[in-house]
Amino acid sequence: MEDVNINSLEDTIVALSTPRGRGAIAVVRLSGERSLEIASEIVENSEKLLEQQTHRIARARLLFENGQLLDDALYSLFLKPNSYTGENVVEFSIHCSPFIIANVIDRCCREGARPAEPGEFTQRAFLNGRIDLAQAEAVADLIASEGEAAHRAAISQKEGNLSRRIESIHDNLLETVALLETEIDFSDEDIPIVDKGELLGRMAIIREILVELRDTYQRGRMLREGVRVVIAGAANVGKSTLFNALLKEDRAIVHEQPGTTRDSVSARIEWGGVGIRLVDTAGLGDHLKGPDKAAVTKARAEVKQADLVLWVIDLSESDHELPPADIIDRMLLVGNKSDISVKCEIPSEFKHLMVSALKGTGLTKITDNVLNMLSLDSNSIEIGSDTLTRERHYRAVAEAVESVENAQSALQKERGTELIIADLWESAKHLSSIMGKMTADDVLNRIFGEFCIGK
Amino acid sequence: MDYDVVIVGGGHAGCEAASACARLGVDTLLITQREADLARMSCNPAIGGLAKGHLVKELDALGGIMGWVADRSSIQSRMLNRSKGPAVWSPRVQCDRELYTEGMRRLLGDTSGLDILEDEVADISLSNGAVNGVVTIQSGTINARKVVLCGGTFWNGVIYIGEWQKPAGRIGEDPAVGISDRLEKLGLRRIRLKTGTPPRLDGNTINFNMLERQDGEEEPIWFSSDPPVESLPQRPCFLTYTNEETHDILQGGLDRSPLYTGRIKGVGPRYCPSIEDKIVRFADKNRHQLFIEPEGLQEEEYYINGFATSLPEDVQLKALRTVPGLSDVKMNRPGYAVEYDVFPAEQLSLSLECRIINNLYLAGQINGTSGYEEAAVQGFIAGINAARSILGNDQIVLGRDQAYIGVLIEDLITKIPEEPYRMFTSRAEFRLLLRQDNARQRLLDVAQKIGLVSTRKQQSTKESIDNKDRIIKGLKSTSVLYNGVRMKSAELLKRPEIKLTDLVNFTDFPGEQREFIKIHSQSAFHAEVEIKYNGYLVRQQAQVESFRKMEQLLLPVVMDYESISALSAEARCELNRIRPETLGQASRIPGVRAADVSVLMVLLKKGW
Ligand SMILES: Cc1cc2nc3c(=O)[nH]c(=O)nc-3n(C[C@H](O)[C@H](O)[C@H](O)COP(=O)(O)OP(=O)(O)OC[C@H]3O[C@@H](n4cnc5c(N)ncnc54)[C@H](O)[C@@H]3O)c2cc1C
Ligand SMILES: Nc1nc2c(ncn2[C@@H]2O[C@H](COP(=O)(O)OP(=O)(O)OP(=O)(O)O)[C@@H](O)[C@H]2O)c(=O)[nH]1
Ligand SMILES: [Mg+2]
Repeated sequence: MEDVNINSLEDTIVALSTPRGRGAIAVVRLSGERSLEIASEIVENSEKLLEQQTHRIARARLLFENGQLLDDALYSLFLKPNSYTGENVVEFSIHCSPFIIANVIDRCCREGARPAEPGEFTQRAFLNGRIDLAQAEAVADLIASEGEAAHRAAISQKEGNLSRRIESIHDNLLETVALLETEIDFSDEDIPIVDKGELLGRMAIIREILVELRDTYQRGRMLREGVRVVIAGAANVGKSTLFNALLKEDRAIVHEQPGTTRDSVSARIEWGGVGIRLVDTAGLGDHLKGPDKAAVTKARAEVKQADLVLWVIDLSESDHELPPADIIDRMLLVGNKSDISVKCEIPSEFKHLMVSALKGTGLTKITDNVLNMLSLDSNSIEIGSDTLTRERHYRAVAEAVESVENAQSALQKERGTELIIADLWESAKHLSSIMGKMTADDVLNRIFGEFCIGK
Repeated sequence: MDYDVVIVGGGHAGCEAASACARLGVDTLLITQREADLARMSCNPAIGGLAKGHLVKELDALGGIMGWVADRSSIQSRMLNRSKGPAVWSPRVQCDRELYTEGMRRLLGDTSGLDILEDEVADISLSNGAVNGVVTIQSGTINARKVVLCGGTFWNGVIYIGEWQKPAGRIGEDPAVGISDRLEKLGLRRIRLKTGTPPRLDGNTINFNMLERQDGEEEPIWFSSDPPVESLPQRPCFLTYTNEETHDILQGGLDRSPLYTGRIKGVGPRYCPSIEDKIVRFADKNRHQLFIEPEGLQEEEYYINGFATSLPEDVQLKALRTVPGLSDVKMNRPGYAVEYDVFPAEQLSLSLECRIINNLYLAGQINGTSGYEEAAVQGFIAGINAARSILGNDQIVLGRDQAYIGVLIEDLITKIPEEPYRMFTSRAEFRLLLRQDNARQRLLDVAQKIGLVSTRKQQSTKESIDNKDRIIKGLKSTSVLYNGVRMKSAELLKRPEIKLTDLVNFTDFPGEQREFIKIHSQSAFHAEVEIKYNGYLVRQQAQVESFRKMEQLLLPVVMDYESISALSAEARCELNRIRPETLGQASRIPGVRAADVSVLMVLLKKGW
C-alpha cells in the first residue's frame, strides 16, 4: 500500500477486470476522474453516455480511431462516490476476444488512461474509504482464491464480516477500559468501584473469543494457501501411481523400477471445496546413496512442510519402511496394492486405509479422511466471519490475546489500574490495526454516557 | 505608550503569560479590568486535582508561577489516587481564595519589566493584517509588538440564575464587550460555551456535626520545587449527600431553569454537570455526593462542590436546606451559570499564535478550555512564545510524548470543541511516562531552552537524574537473600509486594547503598518506579518512538486539501479547517480515517 506512486492516484486507470481467456464476455474497467470523458471518446453515441445516470447499463458501439466498428458492446456507469473504487467508473462488457480486449484498452490509453497495476482498483477503493484494510485484503484473496471454501471466506470478509466481528470484540475492550478509567479520572466522584470478579469475568470472555478467533487461522491459512498433502514412503510402493490416480491425470512417471521419481512433482486439486496442493516425492529410505541423496533430502523437506502426509506402504511386500516419528500426528497410512495378496500386517496404532492405486479403489476414502483429519470436512467447516486467513490478522489477534492475558495477570496481582488499562489498550490497538483506529475520546464518550460524573 | 507584549486579561492564563514574558526580558504590560481580581478563582478554591495536578507540576518545572502561589495559600493538600499506580497520582491543594489572589498580585508586582494597568481592552489595532496594539477604554491606544488575549469567561459573558440574567463575566463583575465582536469581524470563528458554579454558604450556618470530616495529609504536598518553609494552618473539608427530597425540590424548579427552558444555548461540560442535570440524567440515583470546602483560613465561607446550578435562588436555598447539615444554611451568593464567547483553537497554531491575525496569541478559557490549570499552562506557552518571537527565538511546542501540556494544546486544536475541555489522565496516551513526580526531570531540556528555571535548580534536577541512575545500577548489581533464595535486588523489587523502603532494610542490603537511597529519597522513588514498571515503560517508550516518527513527518502549512481527490470529503474538510502541522496530528483528527492517512503518507513520500 505504501509504495503507490502519487501521480497514479490522479490518473485514470484501465484494465481487463475479468480473468483472461475465460467465458464469452470480458469486462474492461476504467476508473478515475476522466473515465467518462475517455469512454465518450470511444463510443459512438457519446452524448448519451455523458448524460447517463449512475448505475445504468446501456448498449454501446465501440469504435476504432478511424470510426470503424470495434465491438458491439454494453457499458455500465457508476458515478463517484458510489462506485467500487469511489471514483467515476465505466465498465465495458465486450466480446471476449484477445484482439477486441487489446484494442479497447489501447483506445482508452490513447485517450489518456493508463493501464492499472495489479490490485490498483482495490487499492483505490481502500484509499477512497470505500472499504477498510481487512476488506481490501479480502478482495485480493477473492481474486486469488482457488477452492470454493477459500472463496466463501474471502466473500465473507469482503462483506466486512471479519471487521464487524473484530469491532465487536474491540468494543468490549473499550467498554472495560472505560469502566477502569472512571476509577482513575473520576476517583473523587461517587462511583461504585468495579468489582474485581466482574472485571476478571469480562476479560476471560474477551480472551476466550479472541483465542477462538486466533485458532481459526490454522484452518484459514490452509484454506487460503491450499492444504499441502504430501505423498511419501519407500521407493516403488506406488506413490506416483497414487498421485496420478488422485489427480485423475497421468502427471508423474510410473515405473516398476524403484527410484523413478527424483524431483518432487506437485499439482493443485480441489477436494470438497478445499484447495489442495498434492505433492509426489522420491522414495525414502536410509539405504540410498549417491546421486539419489539429493532427491531424498528434497523429499524429507516436503514431508516436513506438509500439513498432512500420505505415508504409502506396499501391502504385497512383507517388509515396510516405518514413518518417521515426527509426522505421526499428521499422517495417514496408506496400504497400497491391495489388489494383490496382502503379505504384511499394518501396524494397528496408525490411522490407516487400504487402497489400490492401480485399480483406483479406496481413493474417496483418502479424500474423506484427509479432510476430516484437518477439520476441513463439511461437518466441521463453516468458514466465514470467524476465520482468519491472513498472517497479518493472525499476528494482530495473537498479540491482542497476549495483551489481554497480561491485563488479567496484572489484575490478579492487583497491580495499578493504569497498567491494566495499558494492556487492554494495547490489545485494542492490535485489533484496530486490522481495520482502523481508535482514540481516547472513544473512551471518555463511553464514560460520560454511562456514569453520573461531576460534582 | 509602547510595549513589546501586551497581555489582555489578568486571570490564570494572563498572569502566567505576563510573568513569563517579563522574566524573559521583554517589556510587558498586563491590562485587566480589576487589579484586585488578579488570578481570581471563579469557581472552587482549589488548585490541582486529577490530571490538573500534572499540569501544575509541569508548569512549575518549566518556570511557571501557579504552583508557587498555590503552595503559599494552601490550607489543605492531598495526593489523589494514591491507591493507584504512581503515574496517576495527582496533587490537589485547597487554597485560601484571597491569599491566592494577593499572593499573585504581590508576585507580579515584584516582577521587574512588568506593568499592570487597570483598564478594559475594547479593540485591537492592526496594520497589514498583523496586530500592532490594543485600544483601551480609558487609556486609548497602546502599541505592542505582540498581543496575548486571555479573556476568560468575560467576553460577552452573560450569567443566569433562574429567570434572571445579566451581562457579566463573573457574578458582580462586568463582562468585556467589543473585542470579541471585533475578532469575529476579522474572520475568526466564534462559538458559545457555558459553565456553572455552585452557591457559597455562610460557614456559621452549617451544622458540621452532621457532616463527615475529611482532613488533608499530614505531610504537606507541594507543587513547587521552592515550597514555603512553613505551611499555613490546615483546614478540613466535609462530605454530605443530597436525598430524594432535595431532588423533588430541584425537579420542581426545572420550569424556571435557563438550561431546561432553552435560554442558555451554549454547551456545558459533561464532566461537570449542574445538579439539575444530574437528577435528570441519572434519575435512578437517589443521592449525590457533595463536598463542603472552606474558601479560606477564616472558615467564614464554604463552597459546595457538586451543587453547580442555575436554578432560581429560592429553589437553590430550599433544596440545600434538605441536605443533612444544611437545614439552617444561609447562602452568601447563589450558584449561577455563565455563557461566554470562545474562539475554537483550530484557528491557532501549536504555539498558540493566531493563524489569521499575525502577532496575536490566544490563551485560556477563550480557547475552549475550562479550569484554572488548563488556562494557566496555555497562558504560559503563549507568553513565552510571544516573548521568544520578539527575541528572535523559535517557538516552543510541547509534544504529547513530553507533557500533558502538549496533549492539551494539541487536543484543543485538533478536536471539535463540543464542550469546555478539561484535562484527564486518560487523554494522555503516554501517561505511564508522564508522571507528576518526574515533571522536572522529563522537562529539563525544555526548561533549559526556555530559560526561566534557575541554573541551580537545573543542576539539582540533573543530579537527581544521575542519582536515580546510580541507584538503579546499584540495585541491578547487588543481591539479597529472600526466603532463603539469593536474588538480584532489582529482580526482587519487581514484585508488587516488595517496596524499596522494605528492601533497603534487609540485613544483607549493602549499607552504603542504603545510606545513599535514604538521602536521595526522590531519586530512589524514581528508580523504584522505573524498575517496578520496567516492562510497561519499555513498551510505552517503544510506542513513543513510533509516535515520533509520525510527528517528524511535517505537513506543508499551505496546502489545499480540497484538491486531493483521494481524500474522503470529510477528511478534506477537516484537514483544511485544522491544517495539522504533522502527519501524526492529522491522524488524530476525528474524521480523518486510516485510508486518508495513507494518502497523505504517499503524498509526503512523493514530496507533494
Ligand atoms: C461561573 C463560573 C463557573 C466555573 N466553573 C468551573 C468549573 O466548574 N470547573 C472548572 O474547572 N472551571 C470553572 N470555571 C472556569 C475557571 O474559572 C476558568 O477556567 C479560569 O478562570 C479561566 O482562566 P482564564 O485566565 O482563561 O480567565 P479568567 O479567570 O476568566 O480571567 C479573565 C480575566 O481577564 C479579564 N478580562 C477579560 N477581558 C478583558 C478585556 N477585554 N480587557 C481587560 N481585561 C479583561 C477579566 O476581568 C478577568 O480578570 C468557572 C468559571 C466561572 C465564571
Ligand atoms: N498391482 C499393483 N501395482 C501397483 C499399484 N500401484 C503401483 N503399482 C506398481 O508399482 C510400481 C511402482 O509404481 P510407482 O508408482 O512408480 O511407485 P513409486 O512409489 O512412485 O516409486 P518410486 O518413484 O520409484 O519411489 C509400478 O510398476 C506400478 O505399476 C497397485 O495398486 N497395484
Ligand atoms: Mg514415483
